[in-house]
Formats: sequence, structure tokens, C-alpha cells
Amino acid sequence: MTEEEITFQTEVRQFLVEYLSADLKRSGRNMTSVFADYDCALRWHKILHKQGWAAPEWPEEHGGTNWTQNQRQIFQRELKLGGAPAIMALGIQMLGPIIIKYGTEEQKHHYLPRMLAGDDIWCQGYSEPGAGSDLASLATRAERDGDHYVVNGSKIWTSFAHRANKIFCLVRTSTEGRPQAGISFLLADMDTQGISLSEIIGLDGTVEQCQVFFSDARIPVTNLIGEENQGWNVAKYLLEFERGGHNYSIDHQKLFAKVRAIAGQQYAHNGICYLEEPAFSADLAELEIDALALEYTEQRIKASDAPGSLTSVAKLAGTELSQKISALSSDALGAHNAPLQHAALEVDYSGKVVGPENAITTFAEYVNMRAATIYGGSAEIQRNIISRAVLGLR
Amino acid sequence: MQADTTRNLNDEQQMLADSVSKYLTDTYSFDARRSTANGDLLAPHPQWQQFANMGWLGLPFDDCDGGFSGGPTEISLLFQAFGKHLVLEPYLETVVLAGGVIARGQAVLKQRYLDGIMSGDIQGAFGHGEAGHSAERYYVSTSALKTDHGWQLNGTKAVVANGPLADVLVISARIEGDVRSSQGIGLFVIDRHAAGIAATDYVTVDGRRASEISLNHVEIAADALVSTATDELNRVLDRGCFAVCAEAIGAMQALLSATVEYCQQRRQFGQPIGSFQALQHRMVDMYIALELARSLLGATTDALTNNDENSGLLLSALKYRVDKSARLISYGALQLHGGIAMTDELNIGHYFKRLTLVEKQFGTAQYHLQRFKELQLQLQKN
Repeated sequence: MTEEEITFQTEVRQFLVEYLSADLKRSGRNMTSVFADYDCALRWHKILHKQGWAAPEWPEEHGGTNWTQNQRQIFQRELKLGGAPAIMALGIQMLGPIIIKYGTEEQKHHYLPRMLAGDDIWCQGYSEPGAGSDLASLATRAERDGDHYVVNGSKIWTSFAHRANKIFCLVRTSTEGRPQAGISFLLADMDTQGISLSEIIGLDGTVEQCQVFFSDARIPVTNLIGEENQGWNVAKYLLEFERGGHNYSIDHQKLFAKVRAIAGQQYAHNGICYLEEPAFSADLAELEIDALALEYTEQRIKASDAPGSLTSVAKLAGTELSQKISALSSDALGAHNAPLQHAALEVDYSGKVVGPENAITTFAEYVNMRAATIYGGSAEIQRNIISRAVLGLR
Repeated sequence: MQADTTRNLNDEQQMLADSVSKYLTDTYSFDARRSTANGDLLAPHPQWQQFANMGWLGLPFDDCDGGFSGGPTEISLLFQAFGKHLVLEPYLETVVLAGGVIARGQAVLKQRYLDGIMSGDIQGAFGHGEAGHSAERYYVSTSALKTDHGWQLNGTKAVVANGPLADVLVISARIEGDVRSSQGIGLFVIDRHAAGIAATDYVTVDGRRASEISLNHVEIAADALVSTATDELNRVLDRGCFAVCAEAIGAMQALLSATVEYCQQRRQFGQPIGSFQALQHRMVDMYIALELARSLLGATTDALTNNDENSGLLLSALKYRVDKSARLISYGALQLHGGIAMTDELNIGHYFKRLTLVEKQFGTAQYHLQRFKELQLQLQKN
């Protein structure tokens, strides 16, 4: 690190000491998926906003920062490893860049400040029950009626739709030409008449996902982002952010720290803890080498103007590695994977924990991590992208 | 895909397999299971009495004890069906583990508990593993002190499955030796509500019930001690191991069948996703993983039935293979189903959760790999 970077790191650390309270830290530590406790995430978002750090990746003119790549990396690492809760990513990390690129001046002026301040919480309506990996086959219809679109259909795997007040979605405005050609990118208020939702209980017993239903929902035409029928290009730009903008190597550091904490406390055999057990520590070292290779891959992506399909490489290798690391934590924890301890995950929980402290998150994190190769373009789709775009196989 | 077609069952065994399969298919719906799993911590299992009425609870006990003298084949059939239907009832804990130890005890113990176990009135639990050491087979710090009247037990047992509903506990406690010694561990039969026993009860991630049980100056009679032989402890752990391996194979079969069916129905890109070769090959790998495990289950069943000298070796091979196959098949089933498998309302993820806990029971894959190597050396020497 350069001297400036060390100064920057110190500044971030001081900020965390000052503002990352014990309960916020707890909400970060208790995360079992990419989402933290909603209320804590929002509080943290507002604290970051006050500091001007809610959207470091955005251009400065829109409320972002002029940080270098390295500074952004340092910032993310300090927050994540320092135990900060993740803020709701869908607005700032995904929709923000879209509006900055495709939005009208009016849309930028209206949406970006509210997004930055945490006044609007966004959810993403892409997948449908019949359109998952084959996203272009989506069938939610938006028909023009004067100054409105009348929307009918359903979206699924809509993360935190039950807490969001806004949704951005892909809708079908034309059935002509290639399936990709008739898709538009539309914003809506969740309280629009005709929009309803049902919560989906996840495998860990909590609700993070929803299904959202549109029944003659009237959405103003002014909520269109980009041109009508050009939504696919808009979405593709967004998917690049979802895939390429993520630092898996920081996730891995956090996951490795957890493996080490558990494996240092749990015994494998003959009084040898897992961390010192030859087979286990060899498995761990193997994953650490993979993580190192990925970290350097991410550096190549950041240094490149045209990372192309290396972002798919990073998503594939990054998510599959996260799964393997979380499996090691679960392995080392042994029998204490079993207790279901939802209450202990609440930030204000003051009761006892069954097993070691990290038992409350380990199994749920292991289970939830299986979704990492499903959402945001499944592992199969990523492999298709690489085989076609890089290797030229058809 | 047929269930096991490679094994020859006698008429009675075939009848058992058919009746278990029919009964569970007819009555043990996933929705009913879900409401039991999500129900009250201390609610009794609605099907338990039926299991008794069908005679299943007496299956492995000797006929002189009032049972049906069923062997490994019967246990395997029963547990494969339990695995397929994700049965929550504490058969393993009550009949195989607690019952299995009690049946080796003195007559007075058998009289006190066995009839009640077989009639469904008494449930059991087996407390052996301790916090931080669940993978260490012989780690027992819970102590048993000889007193004038019998024994006094002190210590804590972790994740005692069915602890909340058990009436009788089998607890391992150290009579002598270092905490890790394989020698000097006694198996004690104790009333769950004896003075000095305190429990923290909870629901488990696979919808079952368990407890952390602490024993504080628990006084018990001399006849509560069943055995101090390492072989007896291994016997009960190996029986549990065999049962959960059979259960896992039933669960894996269900996962594979469901995945194949789903991939034939689910359409993306204008065709069933099962028409994509990458997915076909993944399902083929799942099938291979299942059949390899199933072969070892058959071989182990025979070896245990005949008391072959390589039965321990085969059991370790089986558990190792089951754990590996379970992961490969679970991961494949989740991935090929996609998001829907990550929900509570589909059974796929529940098989995954159950199989993950099976991995942690009765020796991990790592433990059995080591044990396989040791037993192999022993057999070569003989």
C-alpha cells in the first residue's frame, strides 16, 4: 500500500471505531447470506450516507467518491472484515449505475439522491416462474394505455420485496423479433394498485425472497429507463455490475476467518483440533490457494478496460469457492450444526447460545451458499458464456 | 428407477418392505411432515403409535424379549423408507440406540423399558458426544463414580437427539482412564426425569428435536450400568451408523428421482432442461454415486448378518461413500432445481439438510477413512 492508502485505511478504521456500534457489528457478524438484518442495514446505510460513503463506486457528481480502485477495495475490505452489515445492494450497486448511464436528467435528479440517502429501498424484478436461466423468455406484459403501461404477470426471487418500496423490472412490451428485442426496463412503486406479493420462506426458515404479482398495475410511462424495447441492453449492463462489481476475495477472507475460528475450537481426533489436523488443514490450504488465484484474477479484471468474460470466471470461481469454504466451517463444527437458533440471530438477543458462538450462523450460511451458483446467472449460464464468448465453441 | 433390485429378500422381508412403503406413501405426506417439524417443541409425533401398531418398534428386538428378531436387512429396509419420506419419528434414538443398549442389559432393565418401547409408550435418547468433541469417537469427560448404592454421574452431553421427548436416556460416562481412552466407558440407562438432570431443548435444522443435557450428581442404581466394554459402545455406534446410511440412501434415491423428473418437466430455451448434455451428465454422476453407495449398503448388510470379520471394514467404507455421495447428490439436486430448491416448501432442500446432519453422526467421512485403513491393516495381519 502507498502512504496515501495507509492514511486512507486509518481513516476508514477510525470511522468504524466511531460509528460501527456493537449491535451493528453484531448484525454484520450474524449474516447468513448476502443480506444483513434489514433495520441495521438501513441504519448503517444512513450513517455511511452522512459520511458521503454510501456509494463509493458512483461518480462524484452524483454523490459518489473520487477514490481509486485500491481505495474502494480497501474500503470494502475494512467494512466487511470489520463486521459492518451489508447495506441493501440492489439500489446503489445495481440500479444506480443504470440510471446514471441510461436515465434522463429528470430521472437522475429524482431517484439518485433518494437512493443514496436510503429513502428508497429497491428490489429487482427479473426472474419469473417460467423464466429463470432463460431470462429473455420473460412474459410479464406491459401494454401501453395513454400515459401508462398496464402490467400483468409475476416476478419471483425478488429479494426483500417485502421491505422495499420500489421495484425495477424487466417487462415485455413487444412479442416481435427475438425474445430479447421486446423487453423494457421499468420502475414502479411497490404500493401501486395491482402490485401484491407473497413471501417465500427459505431453507433456513427465514424470508428473504418474495414472489411479486402484477394485476393490471398502471405504471407511468415516465418510469421507463432507456428506450422502449431496449431493456435487454440496459439489463445486460446491470448484470455486468452484478457479476463484475463483486469482490469475492473479500468474502473469502471473511469465510476463512470463520473456518479458522471454528476449526481452532473443535477437535478432530486424539486431541488434535481441526486446524492442526493434517487432512483438514490440507483441504484448507488448497482452498486458500484457489482464493489467492481468484484474488489476482479480480485484480486483472480491475486493471483491465475490457474484462469481458473474466467476470464470468470470477463469478464461477468465486461462488464455488465460497461454497467450499462454508462447507469446511460446517464440517469442523460437527454436531452443533444441528440446533436451529433463529432467536439468537436477532441483534438484541441476550439469551444463551447452544454450542459455540459461531454455531448460530454456520449451518444456515452453508445451506444458503448453495444459492450463490443459482442467482445472478447460474453456474451453467456462466459456463455457457465462457464457452461461447471466450472459447468460441458453438 | 427401482428401489433395490439386486438383493434377494425372503417373503417376510418383502412383505415388510411393501407395507412400510405403502403405509408411508399413503400417510406420510410432505405437508404433514412439515407441520410436525414446525410444530411445538414438545408435541408428540402423530405417527409414533401407528409405528408401534404396525409392529415396527419391536422389529430388531429378540423374540424372547417380545420382538421380531429382525436383522440388518429389516433395519435397512425400514430406514431406506424413512429416508425417502424424511420420517421425523425417533426410531433411531428410541429403538436402535436406547433400545439396542437396554436389550443388552440386565433383566430388570429390559422389564422396565422394553415393553414400553415396543408399545410406543416409552421413547429414548442416546447421549454420547460432547461439546467441541463430536468427531472424537471415544471422548467422554462425563464421569461415573462408584457409590455405595450404584453410580453418580456428572457431565454434559451435546446434541442428544430426541432428548426433549425421551423418557429414558442411555448415557456414556467414564468410569476410568483418560478422557480420550477407548477403555473404561460405561453405558448407563437413566430415567430422563431423574434428579440432577437438566436439559436445554431445541428444534434442529432438520425439523427434529434435541437437547443439551447436563448431569449434576445424578444418582443411579448399580443395575443401570449395561456395559463397560468398548465393543458394546462400538456396537451401538455402528448400529446407528448402519441405520443412518440406509436412511441416507433412501433420501438420495428420492433426490435423484425428483431431479430427473423435474429436469424432464422444466422447460427453458424452448426445451426440457433435461435435454442439455451438461445436465444429463451431472445426473448420471448422481446416479453412479447412488449406486456405488447402494452396493456397499448391500454388502455391509450381508456382512453384518453373517457376522463376517470384514463387517467393520465394510461399514466404514459405506459411511465414507454415503457421505461423499450425499454431498454430490444433494448439491446436484439443488443446483438443477434452481431457486425453488432453496425454499422451505419444496422437499429437496430438506433432504439436503437431513443428509448434512447424517454426515456428522456416528463418525465423519474423515473418521471412517482412518478407521478403514486401520481395519484393513488388521485384516491383512490376520
